[in-house]
Amino acid sequence: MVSKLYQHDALRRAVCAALAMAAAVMLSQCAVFGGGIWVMLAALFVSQVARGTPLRQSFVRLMLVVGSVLLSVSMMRVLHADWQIVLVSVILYVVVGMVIFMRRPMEVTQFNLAIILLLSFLVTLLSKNEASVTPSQLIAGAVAGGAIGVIFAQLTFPLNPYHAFSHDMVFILRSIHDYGSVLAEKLVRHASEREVRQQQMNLDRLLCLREGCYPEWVYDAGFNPGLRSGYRFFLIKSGRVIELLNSMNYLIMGSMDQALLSQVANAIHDAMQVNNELLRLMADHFEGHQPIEIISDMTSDIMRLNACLAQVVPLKRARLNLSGDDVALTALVRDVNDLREVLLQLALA
Amino acid sequence: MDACLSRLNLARLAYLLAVATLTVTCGYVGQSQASAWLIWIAFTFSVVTLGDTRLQQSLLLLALTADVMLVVTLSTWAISSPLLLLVYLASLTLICVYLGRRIPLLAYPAGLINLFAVLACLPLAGEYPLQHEIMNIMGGAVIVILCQWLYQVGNSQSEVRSSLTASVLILRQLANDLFESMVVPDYADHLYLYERRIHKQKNRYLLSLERMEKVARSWKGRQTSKRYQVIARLLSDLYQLYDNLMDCAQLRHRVDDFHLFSLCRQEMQWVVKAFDQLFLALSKVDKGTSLEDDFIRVMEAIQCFEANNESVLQVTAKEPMIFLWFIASLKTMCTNAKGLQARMREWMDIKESR
Repeated sequence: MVSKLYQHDALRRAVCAALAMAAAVMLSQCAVFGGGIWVMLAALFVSQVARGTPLRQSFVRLMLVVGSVLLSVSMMRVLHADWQIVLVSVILYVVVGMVIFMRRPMEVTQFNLAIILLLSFLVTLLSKNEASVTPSQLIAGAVAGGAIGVIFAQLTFPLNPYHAFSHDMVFILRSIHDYGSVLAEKLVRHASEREVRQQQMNLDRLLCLREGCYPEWVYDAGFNPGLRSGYRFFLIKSGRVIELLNSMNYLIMGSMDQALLSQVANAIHDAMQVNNELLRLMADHFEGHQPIEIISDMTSDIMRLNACLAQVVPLKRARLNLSGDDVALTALVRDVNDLREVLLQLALA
Repeated sequence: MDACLSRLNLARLAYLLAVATLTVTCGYVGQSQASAWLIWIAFTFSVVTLGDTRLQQSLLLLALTADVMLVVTLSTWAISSPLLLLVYLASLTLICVYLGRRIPLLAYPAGLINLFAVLACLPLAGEYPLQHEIMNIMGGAVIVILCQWLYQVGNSQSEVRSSLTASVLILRQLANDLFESMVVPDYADHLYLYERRIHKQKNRYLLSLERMEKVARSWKGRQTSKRYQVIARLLSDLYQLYDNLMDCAQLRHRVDDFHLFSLCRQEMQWVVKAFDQLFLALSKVDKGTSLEDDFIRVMEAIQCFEANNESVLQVTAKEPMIFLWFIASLKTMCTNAKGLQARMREWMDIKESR
């Protein structure tokens, strides 16, 4: 059961949040928290953090919630009339709303923080008449709830950084593999431009933070310094792989002479097949946590490709007299060479 | 384009103020004890647009309202027993968080349902009848639906223009960051810093394209609509420009010795500046403006770089071909930018003819 939880990240985090909520409901029964609405709300806000650096993320949320409640309580001491409270709420709503609208496209983390800020103020200010709760009870509730959130985010079913990283990389590597495969097929005219664009967009969606797949947390301050450099190296190199595929896509879709391209298309296709095999091996490695065993020959196809290019475009003879198509073709072959080099670096890492 | 952007922001501000005014007025007129619910619902529902078309937006908001009413009713019943409340809230949190994580589009609605279930447990909430809360929840939702229909939030043509402008400006920033990594001497020492910055800009760019596509999808009869086809071609051009830029950016990985850039730093800075001005002008492009000067400036900067390449870089570089690829890619980028400008004009023509 527990191992299944680790495999299903959504379920793991849902169980973690549910346990935090259960603990918050129990604690909210204490009179010291004056009904404990803020114990539950703060636990709800703080416990739902993304993978990677739960401690840092939950502390940021805790500070935001407690800070907002403190500020709201201070404002309530000054604002006595109901219309003043409503006016402050409206101003806050318009400001946060405009920030959200104007900063579109907004990263999901920033959006969540903006909403938590707005809600913390609105709930504290507008629930004033709902309960005979003292300000100190409100603040105590928010701190206690936040503490529950931090503890549960950190201690319940913790995911070690390697598993969190692997979880994210499997999806990304598989998507890169699909993009690379369809590009290779495009070269030998078995795939359409539309299919290539679709795969590219699928990969892009995965990388955008809205989907929450890219392990952005590797860059966060506070992430394990021992692991940081290795993980960042892997991310930078993966980014380079995607850049290379985009560059290849641009060259293949461009106005290059198709007759010229067809002379090396099969050699590029073969090399790309090996590149895709490497990507698949890496994805399998992250999924099954088994070492990568490279059994194919990783150099002869590249040598064949370079020899084929040398026949088509004799570089050494007249570098400065190359036509636009020749330059584009050599750039394409160079991309394939670079891709192999980067993939081998990743596989060995 | 600037004026359009300001108009759009004014429209957004008017929408938010309309929601706020209607909510406060209804709360005041209703004199209800549960008017806080009206504000909570209206304010939280109105900052996002769920669904593609206006009809979808309204239906999804109605579905969300029904869910909120259900969980609030259940919370009011569950509050009588602490054990029941514990089981209820823990189960609801489990379901909402799970759904939100599994389906990213449901993350915000599921989070709101969970939040309002907790809020319904406010102490002394039982002092006024449940009907008051339900009426206020419905009232808040109706206000938001009304305002979204009135202001066409999230699916107006201005939104497309805003996304288009934002995309070009982000592309400009991305190009600046990429070229800067070739100009600054400490790129290799702070590789992660620069690469993370570039990654963030790439994400912002792709998100802005996705947003533009989403707005275009919301238009009625899109398959036959000419403006949808123009937007589809605009998107394709923007993707092509992005891929083109990625091809240019390979130079930073291919040059082993970064001192080589010091031999062409000035020319590189001209190229950076020329493209920066070109993208800025593109973001402001209007029917009457001519970008010919900007294109000429870009071509001049590329020619300066090319001259330097032929006299200096081809002799000193260990691998001279990489600069040839870079120059070819820069030239294509200029051509692609011209294509984008033409497409943007086509889009404006359609707008004016409507």
